[in-house]
Amino acid sequence: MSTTGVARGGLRRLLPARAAAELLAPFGRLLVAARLRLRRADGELHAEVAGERWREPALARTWPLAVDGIEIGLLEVDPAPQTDAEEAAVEILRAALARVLAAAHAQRAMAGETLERYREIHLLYRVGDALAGTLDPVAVPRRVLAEARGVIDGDGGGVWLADEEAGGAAGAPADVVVEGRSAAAADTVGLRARLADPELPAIVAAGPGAPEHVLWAPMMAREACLGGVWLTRAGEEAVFTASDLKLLTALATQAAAFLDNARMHQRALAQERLEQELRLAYAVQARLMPREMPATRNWSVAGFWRPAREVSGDFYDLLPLGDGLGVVVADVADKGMPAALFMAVTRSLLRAAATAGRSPSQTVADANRLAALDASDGMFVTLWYGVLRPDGEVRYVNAGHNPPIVLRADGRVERLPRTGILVGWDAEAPYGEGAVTLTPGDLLVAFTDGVTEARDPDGGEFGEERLLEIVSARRHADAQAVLDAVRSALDAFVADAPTHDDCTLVVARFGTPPRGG
Amino acid sequence: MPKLLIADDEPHIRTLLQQTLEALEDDGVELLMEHDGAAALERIRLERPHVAFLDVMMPRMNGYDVCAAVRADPALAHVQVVLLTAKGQEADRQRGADVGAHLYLTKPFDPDALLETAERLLGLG
Repeated sequence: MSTTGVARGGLRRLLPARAAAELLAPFGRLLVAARLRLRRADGELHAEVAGERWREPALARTWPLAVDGIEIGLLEVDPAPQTDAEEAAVEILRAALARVLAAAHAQRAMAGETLERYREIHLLYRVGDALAGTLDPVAVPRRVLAEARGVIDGDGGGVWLADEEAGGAAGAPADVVVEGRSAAAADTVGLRARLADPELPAIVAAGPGAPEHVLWAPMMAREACLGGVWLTRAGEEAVFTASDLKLLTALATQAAAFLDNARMHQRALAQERLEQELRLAYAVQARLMPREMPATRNWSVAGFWRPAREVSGDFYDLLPLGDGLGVVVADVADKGMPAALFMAVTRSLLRAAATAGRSPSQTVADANRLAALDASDGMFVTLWYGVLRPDGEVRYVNAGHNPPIVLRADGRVERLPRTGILVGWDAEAPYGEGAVTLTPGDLLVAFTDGVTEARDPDGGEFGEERLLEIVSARRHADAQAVLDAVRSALDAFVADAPTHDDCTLVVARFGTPPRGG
Repeated sequence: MPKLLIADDEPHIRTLLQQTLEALEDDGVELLMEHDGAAALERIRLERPHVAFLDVMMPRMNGYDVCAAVRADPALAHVQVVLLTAKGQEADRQRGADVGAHLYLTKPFDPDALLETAERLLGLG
């Protein structure tokens, strides 16, 4: 019990009146002519016993009653002891009172400590209950600070949250200077008497009216410092105790667990939002792919598109161009959302240029000129753009793309070589134009390298030869059947191996396939 | 003068309870102390306190039985019984409710909440 506690409790608490009277009683029988009184510190009568021959007040003598150096009352003997025997009896009484009061004080102090521990236990229960449903990372340490200030006296305090990304400070009060130290710099626990300690974050030390004493406890979870809680006191003598530090540390540790949980929840929410956005982006992209094959005289065309992730940098497009059909197969250099966005841009540019009646080389050059303005580092497109004409002629541009295959009805294989560099690299790049004429029964297969470079669970590559074999085996079937055969073979080949690249394939057949094909 | 009885067989717990509730004496409340269930029931019949804090696990008569006896006596209808115990299972709480206890508090008790409860039951501010 503090000295303040002794003074507050006083004689009334340490030696209740009835017990005091019982203590005085035998001395009253011994000092038959005296009246014995105990008075409290405020002068009020606490207990009294009068000897059987005491008649009226006379000249009394008093002795102070003290505990732990604090005066809590008086012993009054009226009249003052007259003989050596009476003096001796009074001395015995004083010694007895001193022992009883000291023992009672010690017992109260111990009980007081126990009650403080009970308060702390319930504080931790209460904080735990309050934080159990909290998923707000800022609310957690603020609640802990509020609870700590309820049980640990201090002039001020604050919380500091370590920035997860930069390792600096975030969420600091506006009037505190933030130096942005890393979380590691705050990884200390200790009782500090002066602010000069370099291990404390500057956020604690700065601010108006710098305090004399700082109590600091970091919030540690899974060996990482998530921030900290501090309390301050001014005044040379107003030191924090080890018990204060232990309590603040217990609270900070509890807060750290909830804060960690709250942050994980936020990350999970952010991840869920991102995945939702990707799903929406996929839906948008899927709608950009041709939903039906345009009717084109003497040609049957089929295509498929499969992103490696939620969104794709590959695409194919089919553009009705009068009596011809424009076919695009393209592959953006990157993956994920950036590639998907550039894919959408490129598709739009090509469509705009193609439908303006331009030749394939002019179309690609026009699209390239505009695409190069928007392309960032590493954001380029390889593409093959061909116009299929009713007479079987195909005029095309191969801008850095893997050469499409022409499989003749008699089994001969031709490849359509590159006629220019990839799109987006050089705004003024020229694009040459190639030409090939298909005859009835011939197939044209354009694809992205995601098809030929697809890997099986053992790491083996699908390869162009395998693609050619499958197409050859079905070369008398219609375009859709050929496409389906390639897709099935690809699925079987890849099985459950992870997919690393987008796959796009377009098959075009000139002329009607033979019956049964 | 309102009265509050504390009954617990452990001296240390009686000290803690008394020290927690002694502030009530400043409001004119008399604190009564007993150390077993039978003595507690006898004291309740004699003094008719407004509130009785009873430990559950006491010799001679446990807190549940004391509470049941108090509830069975029309002359003690005004006595509000609070059971204090280390037994915190739902079944124990239900038993407390069944015997007519007003409140069931578990140990270690929250000193501030205990004082607040006593003040509320005594009708103090």
